[in-house]
Amino acid sequence: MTSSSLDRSVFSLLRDWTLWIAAFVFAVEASARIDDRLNWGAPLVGTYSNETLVTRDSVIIRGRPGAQYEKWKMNSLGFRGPETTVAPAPGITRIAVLGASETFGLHESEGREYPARLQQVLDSLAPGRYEIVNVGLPGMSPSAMLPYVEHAVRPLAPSMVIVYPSPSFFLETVPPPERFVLPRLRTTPEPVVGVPTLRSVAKAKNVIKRVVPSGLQVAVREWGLARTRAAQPADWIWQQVPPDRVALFERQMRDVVVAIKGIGATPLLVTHTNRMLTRGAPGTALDHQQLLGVTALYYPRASESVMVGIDSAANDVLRRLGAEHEAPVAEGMGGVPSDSLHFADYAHFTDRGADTMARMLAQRILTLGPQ
Amino acid sequence: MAFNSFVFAVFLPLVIGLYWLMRRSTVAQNWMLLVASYVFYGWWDWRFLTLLFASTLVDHAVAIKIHGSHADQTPAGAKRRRALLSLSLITNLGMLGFFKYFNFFAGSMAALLASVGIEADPFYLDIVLPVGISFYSFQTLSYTIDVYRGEMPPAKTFRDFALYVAFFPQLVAGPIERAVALVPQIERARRFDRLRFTDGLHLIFWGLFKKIYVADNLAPFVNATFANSNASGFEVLLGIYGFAFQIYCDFSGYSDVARGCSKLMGFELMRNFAFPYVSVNPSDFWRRGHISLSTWLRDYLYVPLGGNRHGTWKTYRNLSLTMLLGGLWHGATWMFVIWGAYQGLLLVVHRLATHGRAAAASVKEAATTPAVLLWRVARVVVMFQFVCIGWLFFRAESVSQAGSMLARLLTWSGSTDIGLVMPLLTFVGPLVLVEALLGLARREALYHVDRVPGILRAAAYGVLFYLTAFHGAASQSFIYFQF
Repeated sequence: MTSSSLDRSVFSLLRDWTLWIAAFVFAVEASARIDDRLNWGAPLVGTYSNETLVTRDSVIIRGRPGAQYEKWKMNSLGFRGPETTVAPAPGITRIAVLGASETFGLHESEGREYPARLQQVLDSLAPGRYEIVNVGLPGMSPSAMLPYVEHAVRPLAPSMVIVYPSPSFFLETVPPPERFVLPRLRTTPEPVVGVPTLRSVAKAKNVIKRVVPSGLQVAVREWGLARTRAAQPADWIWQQVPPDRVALFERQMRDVVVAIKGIGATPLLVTHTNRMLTRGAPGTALDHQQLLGVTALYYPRASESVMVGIDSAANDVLRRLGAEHEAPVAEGMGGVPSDSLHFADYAHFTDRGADTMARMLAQRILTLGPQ
Repeated sequence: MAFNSFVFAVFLPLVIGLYWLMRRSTVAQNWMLLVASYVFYGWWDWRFLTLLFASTLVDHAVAIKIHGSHADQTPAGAKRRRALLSLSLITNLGMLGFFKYFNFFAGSMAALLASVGIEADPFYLDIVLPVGISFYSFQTLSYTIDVYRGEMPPAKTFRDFALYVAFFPQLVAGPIERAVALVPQIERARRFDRLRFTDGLHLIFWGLFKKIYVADNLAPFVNATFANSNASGFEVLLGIYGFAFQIYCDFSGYSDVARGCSKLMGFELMRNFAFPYVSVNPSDFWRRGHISLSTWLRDYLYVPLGGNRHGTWKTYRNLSLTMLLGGLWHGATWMFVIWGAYQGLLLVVHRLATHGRAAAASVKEAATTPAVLLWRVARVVVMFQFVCIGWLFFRAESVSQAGSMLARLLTWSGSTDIGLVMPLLTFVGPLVLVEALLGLARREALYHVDRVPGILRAAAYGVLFYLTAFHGAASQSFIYFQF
């Protein structure tokens, strides 16, 4: 074989393989998109991620009216749940439920997140008296709550706002800003068309999580965490809950409470709970080690005791604010059994956990009486 | 260690990598494969390695002794060889009988005594069935019998014979590879062949598709139908059809992966399935399905019983007996015995109907006129129904369950919800499309179908990969592990 014919055969081999690989990848991606279309009514082209559920205006991040991503659907007002009107119906007590992903719903089946369950429980205990509006959004930190209450919750004119804040935001390496800063969203103002994001890649990540043994996943995460921490000075890791972060949480939650009162609603503060309350109990060591392993990835500065301790410290703040501002407090901590039947991960509920939370809140609301 | 497990996904590349790194030494390769095979098997339960080792040791020694005595053609020499063969048979069948059939026979005996008014309290063994014992027992038996018959010499070394018995791709669920085919491959040097390697990758991929996408997704649907005593006739029909494809994809998927893994290392295992559901008659079905078992039963049971050499009725007797034992080989329950008897009955009836011309009848299928084609399709459809009735007995847990389901099917009781066809179409549809294409093109792998442009073939692999990776059901054990 001459060198030129060899070049040609190498070239044609390269060309063929490139085409085949391209066809293979295209087919996988097209399958993913058709699959999403058939299952969830997703658009065939354009971005399709959980970010499409939210949008932003000049002040806040809010739910995108009518958006849908997999099981999560927003109503025409941009809230998760059934359609409703801006103004509450006469004679009905409207209750808004404010929080992050625990409130918005993550692992629960569709319509089983705790605000939806709360509506069902209240309907069964006090038919036709209450309307629950889930105004929670994934990633809503206390600093984001303040403008959100003013701009998104006020028009709903709720009589009560249940607040279930996530203290873990205050363990992030970069502390939450004193005042809310609008982040840049990939999908605003409208979903970006033409950005080559492969949906099959996101799906592949889920498959890998399912297939790879959890022990190995924990080991890899711990290795990565150890590397991150090794690059920092020894005092970089908090050995106790940092008081400045708790103080920041307190300032921001105080503002939220004042803002809720300012729109004429009663704040009902709910203490945060998680799956680690049974720490040290027999048979929980492996489960807790894996949970902490996953959680530590997001909060590399927090030692195990800090990750567990932040909820207690934040809950003390909530109780204190409740007393200061005459705001009722519901005890989420301890109100939901701390196990894998009730929690799908560190802090997000399963169907059963959401149901327990809803029942606890319903009792508290009925005890408080009409607002 | 199952083929559809994460551990195997790590194990296989590691073994293949090491194997080709050792390509300069066949001895080193064989030692490494032997160790890998024992690790593969011991991953389930290391204690059963002793059984595997004992069986290997006995058959190796017996084969050498038998071979050594072949020169002695006196009656004493023949008697000595028979005694040695008996030792192998007793060892292998004894282990199989003890672990697999003891409780079955004890329970059956007690039931029989109870039926004549004698109350017996049977003694049951609290034992676990060693994975793959039926497969490797038959494999080692074939070896000693072949050496006894003088059809092959014994393996040159214990190492090579041990590798033949324990060769991990086919150790636990076949194909039941004959020593005469595999031992020489073990003994000689293997060369890396890019085409064979690619064929191997295809077979692994296709086998996993069949197992993970088709079989494992059909399993819940089939289980629900068989567990529902109120299922309508239509639902029963779909459940049985579902099981037909579940068991085919489960088992042929395993065989494909086994053959694929072997090809990656330069070995060729026999093809175990050749589109069994396009069979036109019972004997055609057994030529296309579980070929390694059906040929084993033919060569080591049917033919020694006399085959078709001693008249019509003895032929029927031999066929029935062979299939009955073939059924029992699958498991120690009466349902498998009934399934075997049913298969025997089909073969006998077919032979009666064709006046013994069964073998010839299915071969002359070359004519492709529309009438011939239509006739062939009709026969395939009818044969598939007969096969499915067999699967009902195979899958049912009791005679009463099978009877009840058959009654509902035949009386077509209950509602006909056509929407129930969807799961079947979703999971079986892609398989049928690809297999139809392969069948028409007379190819075994999609990428060999030259009539389809390469880019379309690559896209088809993309779709199949998507279905396997993203719509594969939760990992389930292979059905044939229990046999």
